[in-house]
Amino acid sequence: VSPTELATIAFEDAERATVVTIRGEVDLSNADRLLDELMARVGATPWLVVDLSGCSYLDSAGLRVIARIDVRCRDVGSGLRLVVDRGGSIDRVLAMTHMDEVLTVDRQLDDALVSTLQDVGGETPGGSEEGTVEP
Amino acid sequence: VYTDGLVERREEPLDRGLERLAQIASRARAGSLTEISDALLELVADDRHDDVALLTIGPRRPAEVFRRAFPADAHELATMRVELRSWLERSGLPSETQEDVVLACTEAATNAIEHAYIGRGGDVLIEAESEEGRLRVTVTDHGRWRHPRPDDSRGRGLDLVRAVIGDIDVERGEGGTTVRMRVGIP
Repeated sequence: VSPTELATIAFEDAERATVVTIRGEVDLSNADRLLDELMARVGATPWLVVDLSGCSYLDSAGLRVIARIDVRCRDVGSGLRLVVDRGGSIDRVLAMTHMDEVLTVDRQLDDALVSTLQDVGGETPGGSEEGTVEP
Repeated sequence: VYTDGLVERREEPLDRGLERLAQIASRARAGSLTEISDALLELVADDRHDDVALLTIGPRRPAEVFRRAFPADAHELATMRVELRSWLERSGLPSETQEDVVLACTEAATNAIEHAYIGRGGDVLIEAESEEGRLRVTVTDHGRWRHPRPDDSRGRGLDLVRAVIGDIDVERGEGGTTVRMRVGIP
């Protein structure tokens, strides 16, 4: 781990979802790389689950990435779920920008994965009527 | 300066009380005046039968200062955060507020990198000063601000700064941009 702890990204395939685990810090220096890596995965599975529970810092540069990924997911009919610790710094940033109102946020990865299995006949990925996000 | 009620007890010689006072005073000396007063008043916490007046006097604590200039480059941000965090740990701010200040400084610096120094080099300066009960933070660049295009979602980081800090003032001029923030220290 570098002293500055910039983000590492790991991908894992679940049954109906691609799980992206982001650890460390996201800022202007690595947001574009993160965006490219995420964009390349959109549409590969019905759901994209971005696990931010190990992410220690995320600012407007990271919020832009999430907003753009959200738009792309809607465009291709995929669903996006975020995993964020309740009351943590990222939870607060999402609330302050009101992005929590348009994004689907789970508190545990397991909850997110269960939801990706249950969506048949219920929630359809990308089918919600929520508006797009502008951070 | 104190009255005899602080050290005198009916059932013991005055020397015992003075001894206790000296012990507590030497243990508490590194603290603030309020902390020293609180520690000394513990002397009579269990046995108060006389009036007590206590006056503590000390020099104003000098302001703690953080000052760091770095090139307007996104790869400098993480190191800046590490240094700012380690300084803020001694500021007396709650840890959540410390992280708000870190976020605010990164956002202001990000704006300088993205908007003020397009295609040109330059420095970003972050200064923080904590005085009794207050932290003042200033982020300065000497670039020229370009307004984000209407379709550009960048440049909205300052809205986030306003949300976390509240007391913020942005001054844009020909010579650069200065973002001033003030945070109360409880």
